[in-house]
Amino acid sequence: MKLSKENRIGRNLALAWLLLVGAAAILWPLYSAKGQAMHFDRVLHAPGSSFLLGSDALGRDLLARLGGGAAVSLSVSVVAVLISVLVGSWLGAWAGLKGGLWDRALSMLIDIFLCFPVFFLILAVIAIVGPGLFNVAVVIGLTSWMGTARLVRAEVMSLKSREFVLASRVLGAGDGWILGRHLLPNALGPIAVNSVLGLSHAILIETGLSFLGLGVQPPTPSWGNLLSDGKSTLGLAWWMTLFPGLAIFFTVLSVNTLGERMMSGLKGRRTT
Amino acid sequence: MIKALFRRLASLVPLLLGITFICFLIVHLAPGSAADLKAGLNPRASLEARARLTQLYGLDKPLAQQYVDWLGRLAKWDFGTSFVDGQKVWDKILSAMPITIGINVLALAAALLLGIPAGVYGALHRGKTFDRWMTGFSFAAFSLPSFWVALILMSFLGVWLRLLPVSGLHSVFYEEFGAFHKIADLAWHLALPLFVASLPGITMVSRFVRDSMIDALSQNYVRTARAKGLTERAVLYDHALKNALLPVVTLLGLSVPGLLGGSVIFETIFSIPGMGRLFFNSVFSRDYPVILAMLFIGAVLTLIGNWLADIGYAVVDPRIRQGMVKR
Amino acid sequence: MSDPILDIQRLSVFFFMPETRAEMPVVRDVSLSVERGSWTSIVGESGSGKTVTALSIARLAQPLRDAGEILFYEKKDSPLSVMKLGEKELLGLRGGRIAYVFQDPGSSLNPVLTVGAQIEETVRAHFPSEAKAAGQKALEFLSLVKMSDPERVHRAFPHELSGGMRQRVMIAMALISSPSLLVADEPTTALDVTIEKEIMSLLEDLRAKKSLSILFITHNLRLACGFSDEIYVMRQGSVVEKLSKRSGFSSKTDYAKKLFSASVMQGDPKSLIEV
Repeated sequence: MKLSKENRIGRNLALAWLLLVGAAAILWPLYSAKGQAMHFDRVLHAPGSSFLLGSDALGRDLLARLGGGAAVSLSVSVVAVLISVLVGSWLGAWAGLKGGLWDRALSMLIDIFLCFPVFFLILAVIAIVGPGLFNVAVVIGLTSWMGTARLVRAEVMSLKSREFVLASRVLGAGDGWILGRHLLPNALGPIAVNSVLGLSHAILIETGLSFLGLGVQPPTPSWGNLLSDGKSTLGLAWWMTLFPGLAIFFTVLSVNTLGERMMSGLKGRRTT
Repeated sequence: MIKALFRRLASLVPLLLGITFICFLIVHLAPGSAADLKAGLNPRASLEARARLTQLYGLDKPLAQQYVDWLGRLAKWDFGTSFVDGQKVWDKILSAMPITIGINVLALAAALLLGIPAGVYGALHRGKTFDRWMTGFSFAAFSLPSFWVALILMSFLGVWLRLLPVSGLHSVFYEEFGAFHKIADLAWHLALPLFVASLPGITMVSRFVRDSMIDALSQNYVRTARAKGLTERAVLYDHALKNALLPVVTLLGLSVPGLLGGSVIFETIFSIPGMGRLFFNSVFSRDYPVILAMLFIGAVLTLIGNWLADIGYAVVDPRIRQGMVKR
Repeated sequence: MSDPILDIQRLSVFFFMPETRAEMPVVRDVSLSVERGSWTSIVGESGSGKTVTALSIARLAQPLRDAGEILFYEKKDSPLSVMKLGEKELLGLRGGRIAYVFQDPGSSLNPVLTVGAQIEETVRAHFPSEAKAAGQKALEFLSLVKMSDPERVHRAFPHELSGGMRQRVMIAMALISSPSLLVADEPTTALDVTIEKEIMSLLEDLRAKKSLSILFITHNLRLACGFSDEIYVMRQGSVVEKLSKRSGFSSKTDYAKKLFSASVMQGDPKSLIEV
């Protein structure tokens, strides 16, 4: 399936950006010292020779901190998505396979969870367990499993009465085997697409929380709390507002672009 | 028909109970008891004070009992008093609610007024410049962090150009303004927050209407309408658009949770005294009664939105309306 | 003496194929005519171009490009060239003097408007001065198409009616402006056999009553033989044969014979057919 030229450019740009960000994230330990070093003689410098993207109110290199933010925001989001996929797949698969009461219970649980505005729920739990890198990852993960659960449940339900499953049962296979070997692998496609889109959602939530001061706490950099620094220097240091925001925007855009590609690849036809 | 509506309402009751249960569960996840936390704000609270608080809030009773007590208070709409200033929680929420609801209703109105024509135009001129730009823009807007958009606009329009105010609902001398001046002042202050609040709605509605319209235009009844010799305008509005807009009703009802979540951000950034900012402040100060009440009310509002989406659809689509009655 | 109400001359219609990025002829150099007051059928398999030909008569096909001539002789000796008509005249022609009935009445009616509203729409579009009496006229035509309870049907939504009733509604909607030519594109294909018989007889009836000329599109040659005066057989965009009742629908091509034997028997056809 050929992609049009502009679609291909978009996809390549997205991949390139994500590779860049990923590299910055992985290599963070190597230059973290640079990101933490404060230069009180060069506070709030505009982008230029000493600091490529400028410095913040404590004289720290913004570019280095953005790299740190990449490491933080990406790792939190990846962990969050992993949690939500694991929880969602497990619950959805079980409900789909068992059916009956288990299924009704899960559907009820999903419906109840969906009644809460996601951000409200997350904020409430953060209020209780406290902010921080780990907590944020877990809380986001535990509040976004519903989509995956529904998907997996639907897949499992539609597949469980197919012949190859019945044949497997006749041969004595138990529930776990059937799930792991036959049903879940078929659901992997939609799960993958869901995870990718969940990733961009997680990044937006984590950066949002950090921006509000309820996520990753300074001095650990997150694109969100870097933006919050931007707010306190509004009108003084435009680079503090522009670059962290661009980082978030480009990353989320790239992830969404790849997600769309995957989705249309899955459906076998082109989206607009 | 009315019976069907009430049946729908009744099915919401178990959800409501579930919501109360989750709310209760969440708050009691607190590592310490609520009394500790309240006392925690005052490090010099003595053991006696803690004991008194524990008794006052009934925290020494078994959890199940606490839950039932809380349900009882909920039924009376008693959310307790704030830890921060002792004000009745419901009063605090009540003064903040109209502002949030007002802004979000306006945002939805903007989404419809701008999004629908944009979507229709895009559908009619599919693949051409406007459509391609709109689609691209919608996709990008979906990836934009709203807090960043707010900051950019604030620094550009508020600080650099000094065109719009960046915080609060009123100017300092608001009370002394005449009625017309008051309204103008309010509008001026609401411009930026409203823009930030409406942006996701506008892009979502336009994209949705575009797709829905393209689908409607490919339907057989549109061919029939053309074959009857109706003007293209009549075909578009009386036939295609009417059908294309049906699911927009549901879209609106289901947007409640997203709007509430978004309110937290733009109200905090622009210092608007609404529910979002109230929630944020209460989270920051660990004001548990308010947090709990907001969580509950947020869920109830979402539930109402879902219910409205349901009946809204039945109101506009005769197939659903009759399906409901027959059952 | 030939007195055609419709004369299609060397019609070719091209559509754009996105896969090959080229134009593809769907109708190739087709010439056919409908005698005034007759029942003329176009028979062919799917892809034969019969529907596009029918739609092109009122320029409803929206092709990439077309060529040829379509002459509509509403009055004898003064033809209207459909290809050269302006927007306004075309709108007056469609639904006014040339009316259509389509294949799937379920999806061909607007689900959110009442049947009555949709019928009256046609009246208002073509006879704005009669707008007030539109309701009455709608009821009149609903009785004409043999609805047992015209009032109820008038108030109903399409999904409340059966397939056969919906098709009668389509017919009423088409005839309410007293067209001289009715183009029916596979009107009975989506209906049960018994209902199909009723609809076909209804059309026959109305043809006589309203001095209508009918152009009937179908894939069922046997069915066409039971009602038509003339049959054009189409295959892959071209007319391959013309059969006429006068000559007992005798066919010279194998294709027609194949088509005939492939069609399902539809009860008792009006005239004896031996091909």
